Amino acid sequence: MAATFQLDVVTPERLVISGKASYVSAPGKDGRFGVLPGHTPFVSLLTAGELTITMPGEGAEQHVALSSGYVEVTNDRVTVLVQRALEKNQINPEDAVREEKEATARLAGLPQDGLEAVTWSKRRDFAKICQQIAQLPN
Amino acid sequence: MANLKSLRNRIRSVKNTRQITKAMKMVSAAKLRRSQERAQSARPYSQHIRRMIGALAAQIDPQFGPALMVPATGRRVELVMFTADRGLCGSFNSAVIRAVRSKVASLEESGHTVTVTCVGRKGHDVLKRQLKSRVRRVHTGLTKNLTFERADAVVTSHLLADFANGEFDVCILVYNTFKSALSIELTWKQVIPMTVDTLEEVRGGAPEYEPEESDVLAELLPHGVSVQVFHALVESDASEQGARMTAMDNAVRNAGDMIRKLGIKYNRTRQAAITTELMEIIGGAESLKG
Repeated sequence: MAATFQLDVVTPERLVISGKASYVSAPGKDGRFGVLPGHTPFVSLLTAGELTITMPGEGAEQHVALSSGYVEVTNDRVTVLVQRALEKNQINPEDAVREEKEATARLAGLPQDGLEAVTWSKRRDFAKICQQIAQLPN
Repeated sequence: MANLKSLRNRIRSVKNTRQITKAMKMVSAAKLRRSQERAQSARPYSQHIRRMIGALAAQIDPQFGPALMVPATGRRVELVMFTADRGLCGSFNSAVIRAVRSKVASLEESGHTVTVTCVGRKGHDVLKRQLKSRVRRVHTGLTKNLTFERADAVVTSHLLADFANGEFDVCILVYNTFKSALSIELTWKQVIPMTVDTLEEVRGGAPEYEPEESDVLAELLPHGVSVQVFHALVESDASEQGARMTAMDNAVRNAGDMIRKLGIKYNRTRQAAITTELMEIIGGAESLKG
């Protein structure tokens, strides 16, 4: 398993991950998909979910919580562009629980499909994903 | 002597002012560093998004693309003006306001209808007097705790919704771009319809899109607007801190000059008082002798 590709996880505020990976699995809008080195170039939409990364030389997989965004795959490069991304060890489960509660409470008082409702439902989804990932065994 | 006392008071008050401006300069310097870092770390994302939009747009005829791309035919222009929430930053705010005012005048002369969205309190403070009827929305307090999410939820979402409701045809952002702490540059950026630098050549061949190209583009374009609004906010924030730092640096220097001048004046006045007193004593002694 020598083959690798460059993986970048970028949010509008910072570069979250930049490094070599040998496999990633991402939450596509039309279903989960995996990328190995040499994958056909493609661009896809992502929904909020879990990004799993296998780094060469490291046995364990890395888990990253993603909010919705895009992924771009070129020959030697995978770029994940999302609004928010948190690695497993950066997640604070209490914060995530609090955020989900707040978002759910706010959503209850808002008309559906409104601008604010979209923002809050995004936050709620992301908080849920964070909680799921935090519960994964190491 | 009353004059001496008032000079002393004056010197003390200028010294106090200098102390305050010095502190403000330090604060801006610290904030500037943070803002610059933020601007730096926001760059990779906006580059990627712009590149993706460019690659996609190259494959789609703008006439048949999403509304955000179709060249505008209407004559209603929305200006989004980015100013600071606070003053004391040299010509930072006034430069933007002046530019907007003359743009509004020239656009209206050529038969356009203009509306303005004010981001930042200072710009609105001025415009609400002069262009009140054209101000559509005001957003303040954004730079205090600036995140992409907030910029998106507060500014962009309204812009996109208003555009979708057909309230304007063209949207232009006006903001200061950070060059260095000493120089800022006024920037005009049209975001709706989006001006795309189409890429002729895509690295590694044309990618496949999932879902369809047009669907991806329909999602990407609003996001591209968002990215540019955020970019404008970040740049404007960095420029604001830079401008304030420079302004405060000047103020500190001016206060120093003033203190020096007042000091000289104070000493002269004191000397004059002593001389007069001496003359009186000598005069008195002379008259006693005689």
